[in-house]
Amino acid sequence: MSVDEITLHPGIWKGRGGHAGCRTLPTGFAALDRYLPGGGWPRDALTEIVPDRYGIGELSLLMPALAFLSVGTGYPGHWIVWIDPPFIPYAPALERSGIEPDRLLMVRPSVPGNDVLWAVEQALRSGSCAAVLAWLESANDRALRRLQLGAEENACWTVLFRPGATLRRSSPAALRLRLSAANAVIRVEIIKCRGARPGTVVLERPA
Amino acid sequence: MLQPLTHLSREPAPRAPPGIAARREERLWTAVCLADTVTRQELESLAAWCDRITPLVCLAPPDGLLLEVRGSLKLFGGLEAIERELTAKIAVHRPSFHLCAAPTPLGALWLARRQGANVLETSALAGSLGPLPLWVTHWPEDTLTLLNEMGVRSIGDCLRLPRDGFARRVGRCHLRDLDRALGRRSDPRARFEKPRNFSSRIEFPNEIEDREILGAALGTMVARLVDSLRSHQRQAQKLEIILHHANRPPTVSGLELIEPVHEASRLFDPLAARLESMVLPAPVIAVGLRVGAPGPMRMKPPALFGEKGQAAGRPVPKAGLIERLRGRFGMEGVCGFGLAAEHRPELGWTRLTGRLLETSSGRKGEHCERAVMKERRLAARPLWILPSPLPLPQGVSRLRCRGPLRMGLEPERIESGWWDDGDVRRDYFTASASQGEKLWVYQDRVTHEWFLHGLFG
Repeated sequence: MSVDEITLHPGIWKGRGGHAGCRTLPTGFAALDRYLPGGGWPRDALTEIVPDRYGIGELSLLMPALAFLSVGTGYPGHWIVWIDPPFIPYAPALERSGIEPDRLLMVRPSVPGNDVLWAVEQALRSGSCAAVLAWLESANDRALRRLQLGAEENACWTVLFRPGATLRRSSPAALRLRLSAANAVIRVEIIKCRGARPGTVVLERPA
Repeated sequence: MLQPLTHLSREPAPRAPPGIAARREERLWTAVCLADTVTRQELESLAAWCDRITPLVCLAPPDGLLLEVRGSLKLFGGLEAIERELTAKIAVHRPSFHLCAAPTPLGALWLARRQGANVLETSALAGSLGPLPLWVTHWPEDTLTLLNEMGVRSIGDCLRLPRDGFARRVGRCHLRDLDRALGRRSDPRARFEKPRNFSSRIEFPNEIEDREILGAALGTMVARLVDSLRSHQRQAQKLEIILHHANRPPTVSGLELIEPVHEASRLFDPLAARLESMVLPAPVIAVGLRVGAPGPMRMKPPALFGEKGQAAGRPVPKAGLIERLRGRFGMEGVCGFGLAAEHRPELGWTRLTGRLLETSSGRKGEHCERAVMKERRLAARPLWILPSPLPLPQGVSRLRCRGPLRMGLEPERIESGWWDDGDVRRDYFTASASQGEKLWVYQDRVTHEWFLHGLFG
């Protein structure tokens, strides 16, 4: 095995020289694409997003990528699964953002917590999902690692929305973001990013 | 030979269903007599199995089954081969049983109870049945006592009695039994119809709380179900798990699959997920599985050119995920989304559960009129909507929701639904809260109250 082959492994950081072998999904925001290694969301890894509160544009940040998955040819007929969202995703608005409503699946676990983890894992392993969005209150490191492995194996874009208190703890996620909002901008604070340094990107809030 | 008396022969003969008794003389019946006591359910499950030997199987409770085997002799290659088949099946569950063949069903049954030899000719029946003791008839106890007191010990003794006297003193129905056994009278029997609904139950020797044991029992029942579905050429869709408790009503949980299936794995996974999510209010003494009205089996024909043709547009196994999720969270726990042509925001989408989720046709909102869709594209719509609008407390001069709200300038007026009791007159505003949230609020134009309806997530 040559050195080049070894450095293809997604877990190996090659400094500013770029990150080979990492499949990404364009975010739709040029500033963010420039910042993230590979030019987009890590497609087969866990992304953790910690919004300050709901209603600050946390979903609109994902919309271009979800629209790409929904209409793109890479994942024909795959689900975009929403697991235990805090409110109801509004289908007409999603459709307006370019997402086919018939790709959406909402799961409401009867008992939050372990049931959310179970549902995420089932969705990842089923091989029938293009993206999994889950709102996860608490999870231990081991459970997250399991999900991270599941996302890697099944090449499924997995986004976990976590409460602010989890920022203090470490996480196996490839990308961790904290979102806050000012008047018309979203402040994306990159807390951890495999293959790039932490920093802050300010995005204009989509209308 | 005794001839029937005139007053007996005037009795209307029992009407035979066409095709069963009309060709009586051609029939050959194999009786299966199970020596131990047997439940009706066991008898029925055995009868259901026996239909692979002959289409005409009759129950002879409490202990026997009757199979018409004349039509199967050629297929199996003789009576011995049929008996071998039966023995192999029954011996698994029952240590002691006996088989006997005779031209009449009752004759075969009586001979089997006494472990007699096969009788192939009707003319030989009287000779073979004659030495049998009377208990093989399963007549009531007082009849047997009466006959015993009369010195009648065997069937042959009965046959030697005068017919009219026998009918008067012992009973006409018993005389008819004798006639039927000897083939002098037709003996129509109800064909055993396999129950279409599947129901299975496993009882535990003691109270169980261990879910692994329950899961194993479920696996056994699913195997039975698959057997039953295969033999009926049917597929199951609606399933029910029943947990029986000692001193309380059973816990029942229903499950509906997206499409009818007959494969063990596709049945077991959702059922196991459902079982795992069921709350056990008490220890379980028995577990049951019920399937309502299985539909006919539909198999997809394989592609002519095999895998090659499928590779391009191979369907994504979407159903499996939904079934597993539904198994755990119930029908209402998993839903899809549809669009509706409706100005009222809360009616602009529909929750798709149940069968609607399984097909994506008709879900794209073809019915949505273009005007509504166009309007929707022009006006701002939030990505989050609240399940029901949340009343907002009104501050002294400014509306408050997580701090004071800054309202957008131009409201969007929605007035609709006066025709269907969902009358709505609202002015929608986009509002900004102090921490940067963008909210979608409205003022009811009738009551002038304010509500939060969505968030621009």
